[in-house]
Formats: sequence, C-alpha cells, structure tokens
Amino acid sequence: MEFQEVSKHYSEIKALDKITFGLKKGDFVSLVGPSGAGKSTVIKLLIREELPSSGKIIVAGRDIARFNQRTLSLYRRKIGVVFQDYKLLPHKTVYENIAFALEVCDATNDEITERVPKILNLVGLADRAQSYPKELSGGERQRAAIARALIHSPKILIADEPTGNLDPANAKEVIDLLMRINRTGALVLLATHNAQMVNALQRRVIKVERGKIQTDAEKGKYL
Amino acid sequence: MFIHLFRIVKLGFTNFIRNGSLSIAAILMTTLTLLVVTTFMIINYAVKTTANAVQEKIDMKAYFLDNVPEEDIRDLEFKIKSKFDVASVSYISKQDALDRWQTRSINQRTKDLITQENNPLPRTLEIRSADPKVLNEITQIMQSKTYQGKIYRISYPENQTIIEKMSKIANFVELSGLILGIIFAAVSAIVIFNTIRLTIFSRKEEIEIMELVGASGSFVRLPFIVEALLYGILAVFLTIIITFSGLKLVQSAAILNLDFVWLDIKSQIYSNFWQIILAQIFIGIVISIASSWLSVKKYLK
Ligand SMILES: Nc1ncnc2c1ncn2[C@@H]1O[C@H](COP(=O)(O)OP(=O)(O)O)[C@@H](O)[C@H]1O
Ligand SMILES: [Mg+2]
Repeated sequence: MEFQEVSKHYSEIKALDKITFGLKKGDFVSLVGPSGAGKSTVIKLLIREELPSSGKIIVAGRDIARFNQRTLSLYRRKIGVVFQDYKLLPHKTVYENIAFALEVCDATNDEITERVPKILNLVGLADRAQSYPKELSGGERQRAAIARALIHSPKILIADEPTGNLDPANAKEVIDLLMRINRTGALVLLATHNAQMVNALQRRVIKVERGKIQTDAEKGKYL
Repeated sequence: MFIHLFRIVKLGFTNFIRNGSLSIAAILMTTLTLLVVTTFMIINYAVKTTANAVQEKIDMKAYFLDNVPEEDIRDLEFKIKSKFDVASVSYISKQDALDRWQTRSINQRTKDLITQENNPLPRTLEIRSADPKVLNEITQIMQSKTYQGKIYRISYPENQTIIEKMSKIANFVELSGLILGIIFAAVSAIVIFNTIRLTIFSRKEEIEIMELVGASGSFVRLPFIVEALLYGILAVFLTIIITFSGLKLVQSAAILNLDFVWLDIKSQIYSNFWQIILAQIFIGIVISIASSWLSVKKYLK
C-alpha cells in the first residue's frame, strides 16, 4: 500500500501536501502529529471517503481512485476503521451497529450471534448492547466503534484517535488489543497525538505536520 | 444470496416504520390512484353488462291501435312467422295485457286504475329473434305505408338507440378512466419520488456510514425500493378493502334501482375479481418501484 505524492486541498487549505510513504503487510504504524496536521485526512483518503486532489494511492498494485463501486465496497470490507467521530448508526443499538458490519459482509446469522457478544465482552460493552449511541458516554461510543472495526477480523485496521476519550487504563487496553490484532498478521495504522503511548510501542512512527511528513522512522519516537 | 435479500427487505421495513407520517401521504395518494382506476373499471363493467343485458333481452314489440281489426294483426303475425327467421311471435290480446298488468309488482291503487271495462292497454305483437338484422327488416315493414295508422309504436328502434347510447357511454367511461388514471398515477409517482428523495436526504449521514463500512450498492439502495414497494402494497390492500366494502354499501341501492341488471353487474364484477385485483397490484407495484428507482438513481450518486 503506497501514497505517491498525494495532496489534498480543501479550497484554500492544504490538508496534505505531496506526501509519499508505503505500508507493508504486518506493519504496526503510528501516524502522529499535532491536531490539524492531516492525520485524519490520510485515513479518509485511504478508505476513499475523499479523493486526492493530486497523486495516487496504490493498494495491491491498483489505484484505489479507479475502483468501481463493487470493488470499493469489497475493499472497505477488508478494512476495519475506528473513526475519530465514531460514525455509529444512530438508529441502531450497539449490538445492531456491530452486527451490521457483519451483515454487510454477508455473514450468516449464526456467525453474527456467535461473534457479536464475544467482541462486546472484549471491549467491555456487554451490558450496553441494547443501548443506542446517544445513550452512551464518549468512551463507550469509542469502544463500540472499536468493536465494529474488529468484528470482521480485517486485514487492515485503521484507528483514528481510538484512545482520545479513554482513561489511561482503558487506553492501554485498546493499544494492547491493537498489538494483538497486529500479531495475527493484520496491518495496523494508528493515528494519535498521544506521545507517551507511541514512544512505549517501539514501532514505526510517521510524523506529519502541516500536511507534510516530517520524519518516518522504524522504532521511532514521537518527540 | 438469500440472507442478503432478506436483510435488504428487513432494512426496507425498518426504514418504512421509521418514516411514519412521511409514508402516509405516499400510501394515501397511491390508494387514491388505485381507487380511481378501480372505480372506472367497475363502472365500465356495469355499463357494458347493462348494454349486454338489454341486447340479450331485446325483443321487438309492436303496439296496435284499438281500431285495427284483430284479423289484420293475426295476418301480420302469420306473415312474420312464415317469412322471417324468428324464434317466436306471440299475440298479446287486451285481456293478456291486463293479466300481465295485474301480476306486476306495483301497488294496488295503480293496478286498480286499469280494469276490464276501462282497459287502455294496447294489443301487441312480441317478436323474438337472435338476429338483429331480421328485427330491422321487420321494423321496416311495420313502418311502411301499409301499417301507417295501425301501429302507433315499435319498441325495437328505441331499444337500439339505448344500446348505441350505452356503448358510447362505455367508450367515454373507458377513455376518461384512462386519462384520469394516468393523471393520478403521475401524481402518486411524484409523491413517492419525493418521499424517497426526502428520506435519502434525511439519511445522508447514515448512508455514508453504511458505505464506509463496506455496504454494497444494493445494500444501500434496494431498501429504499423495498420501502416504496411497501407503500404500493399497503395502498393495494387499502384499495381492495375500500372497493369491496364500497360495493357492499351500494348493493342495496343498486338492487332497488337497477333491478335484475344489478345481479348481472355483480356477477360480472365478482367473476372479474382477480382481474381487478391484479390490475391494482400491477399498477401499485409499477408506480412505487419506478418512482423510487428514479429517485434513488437521481439522489444516491
Ligand atoms: N472537510 C473539510 N473541509 C475543509 N477543511 C478540512 C476538512 N477536513 C479537514 N480539513 C482541514 O484539513 C486540515 C487537516 O485536518 P485533519 O486531517 O482532520 O487533521 P488531524 O486529524 O491531524 O487533526 C485541518 O486544517 C482541517 O481544518
Ligand atoms: Mg483527526
């Protein structure tokens, strides 16, 4: 997976300015930088929520901008995304939200009834399964979003500030979870501005600032 | 595949329930359209059946003035019997006419107006034939000079005019039903189109989320079609209920005013029961699918 001189402009604002980097299978990459640096924009481009203003994003040898609708939805099903703003469906319960990600992949009802409670247990939301997103706290929504991103065992896991609303103990648990997913062979891309956490990881760090890549280091630190 | 379809239908149902009041307008408008079409279909059946009933019961009656000698009438009767291909010719004497009068279901006071002594009922020749041409030829003879001043009225040409009028009415009903049906269908298509459009707009964010977690095009779009289809199906149900309870309501009035013809009309309607219902289902489904399809195509990039 590669970004090739990718720029993204929102009218005057240059959210990303000719950034180039590659991600490999099995990587655990932290995308760091201050708020407004362009981290979320990278993610939006990666899942084609937005199209680049210039440059190309190549996944498995193909430009994702040229995916047709069918290919795009199949591509997105291989990715799990924890959105910064959660993007939970407001009219579905936590259970239904998570089940929906499986329904979309044409999972059987048996698979759904087996896996959803497990993942809810994993993120500690078993007792909130029947609540609607608006009845949840920020941290609970975040955990619901994480559960949805993980439910279909994605090959690529993208998490945009997944610990932003969690207390340190819970944040640690989420990071451990991401590490575990990564150990099963999935590519993990973690966008965050939490320096301590990233430093403790001792894995690759890409640092962006004002739409440009500042450093890209194996076993990097976020200074 | 089956589970995929099942989930699409489920989503459609959920949307439908959530849409509440918005869907009611769409359902009512479609019901109205179906009612218009159904009403015209039924009126059309009624007119056509009545015309047929009149046509079948057609017999010709020639009424003779009282000063005509009976032999002349009997002569004519014999002539018709021998010359024309008729099913029957019968002579109704003044007494026969009076007897018939007495058996009619009218009130006694009216009955008593006509008595043996004071009997204005004319003598009549009743002629039956399956062939309207034959009846036309007989009419011409009766209208010739020979019978002028003897026959004061022939019923056949009058009946013919009624039948012609009725077939004109039937044509008119058919045409206006078609035009009105098309107008109403267009209006309800527009209402459904807009309902789906509003639904799509109010769910923009949800649709986006669904797409971001990998929902396929059909998974996002088809529930809207299913939702519209539910409008159509509910409208069909409502229409069927209204149609047949409406028929029950007019039943008693119809029996009083249309007499025997009503039974024909009724059996005609009920023997075309499935035709009516299939037309309703077809129109309801076509309107809802076509309009929602267009809306989805236009507003869901
Ligand atoms: N939809 C948008 N319209 C206009 N500007 C945007 C939009 N999305 C992001 N931006 C701008 O792009 C820049 C990068 O934003 P973002 O990628 O969200 O930063 P980060 O996630 O690192 O905090 C910011 O200056 C932000 O204001
Ligand atoms: Mg962000």
